[in-house]
Amino acid sequence: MSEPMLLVTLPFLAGLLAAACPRGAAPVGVTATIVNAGIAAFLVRRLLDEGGPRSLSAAGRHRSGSPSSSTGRPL
Amino acid sequence: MIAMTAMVGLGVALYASGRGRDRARGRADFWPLWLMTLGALNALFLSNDLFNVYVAFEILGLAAVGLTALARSLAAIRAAFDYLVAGLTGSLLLLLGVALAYAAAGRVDLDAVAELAQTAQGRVALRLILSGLAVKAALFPLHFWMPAAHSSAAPAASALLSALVVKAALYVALRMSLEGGVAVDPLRAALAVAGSGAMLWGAWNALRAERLKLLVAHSTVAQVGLIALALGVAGTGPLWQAAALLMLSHALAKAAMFLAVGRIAEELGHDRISGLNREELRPGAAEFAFAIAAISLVGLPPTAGFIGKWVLLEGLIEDGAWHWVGLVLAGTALSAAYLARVVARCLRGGPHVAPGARRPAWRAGDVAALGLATAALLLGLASALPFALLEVGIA
Repeated sequence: MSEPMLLVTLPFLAGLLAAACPRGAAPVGVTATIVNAGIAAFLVRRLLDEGGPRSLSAAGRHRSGSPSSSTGRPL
Repeated sequence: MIAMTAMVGLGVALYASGRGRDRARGRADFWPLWLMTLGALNALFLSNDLFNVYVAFEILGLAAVGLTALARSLAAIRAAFDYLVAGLTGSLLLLLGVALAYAAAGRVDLDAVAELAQTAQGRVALRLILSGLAVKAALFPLHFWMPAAHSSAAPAASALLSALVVKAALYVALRMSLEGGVAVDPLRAALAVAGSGAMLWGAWNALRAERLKLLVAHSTVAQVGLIALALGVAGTGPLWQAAALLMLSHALAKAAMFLAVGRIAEELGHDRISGLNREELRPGAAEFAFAIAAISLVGLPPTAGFIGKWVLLEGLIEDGAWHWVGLVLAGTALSAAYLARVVARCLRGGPHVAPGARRPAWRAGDVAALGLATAALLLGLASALPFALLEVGIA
């Protein structure tokens, strides 16, 4: 799984877990925030190493012009 | 922007994890909402598609309304309702714009923005999208919901709303601007004029504010105005870097400021500016963090705010846009005036601090506020890194 995919899915999954277990919400929230920061740092490091145009948004770029382009692009 | 979100998120998470047991219920509700906000922000910053941006805004809006209402006071619930109405109005405009853009260009990715600017239908779509973004960013005169929402929410929620949620709309405006979406002169002028209005209106209200949180919330209106002005005058030109750097520095400084205000209110039991004179409690880390964040917001060296304003003013002077230079300087002077009201009261000694006044104990919130304020300072000292990242992301 790529870093952009992790950056989007991980917080939502952790949020669901935190909502399901209110007593453990704080540890789950703090851990998820720290993991998110780690993935973000890894992504930034990779982008700085690779460079290239529009790298930050290129991870999920899709074919434009198709009728499903408004909804078909993976988050 | 993802790195900025992660950094601010860490600070806010540290603050929220250190709050007292009496607020355990509110604390438990905070985490799912924060994580939903984080996921939506990451999705928005990674999107290259206007419809996905709209979807991310919807999730973000719902989480933000929940965060506003988390304080559970009547004022917070009213502010959350106003926020919901404003957010839905912005979403409606955004969705209409996206639908029109799809009809005009047959696609909705951000690369199509330049194409949209070429046709009449496309220009209407761009105006609708930018109007929706202006509501979501609380750009003057569409800012009516923001001061109440940000000042009545819990400190951790206010920090997230002011530092990150507002930036989401500004970020999309920046992306559209870079794609040529605001290359049309009336749009650029409207953005710059609205930005100037926000700077002056926000600063004027901050000068008159009696509560610390309200002052910081009005200051957000003014700072959003400065960023919008930078976006308006930049168009597709190199001044976009100034707008981006101002966004980063404002996010760090404003998050630090709201967390510091939360700690000050916790220690003193109120956030009245007139009551900041120290009778029983000496200034602590929170006041120091507030002062550093204020330095960055005013734009004094060596903070990131200074670098952002320097790049902006240099570009404006090179273009001979002296009227905008005057407005930026006026906004800076006003921000110095309203922030000095607080810093002067907090940090001056003499008769305002009683001889036996105790020192506040250190809490996780102090570390979070001080860490974010220091990050705003260090970002100015190491400004090559954000510029390199901005080049990688947009070049």
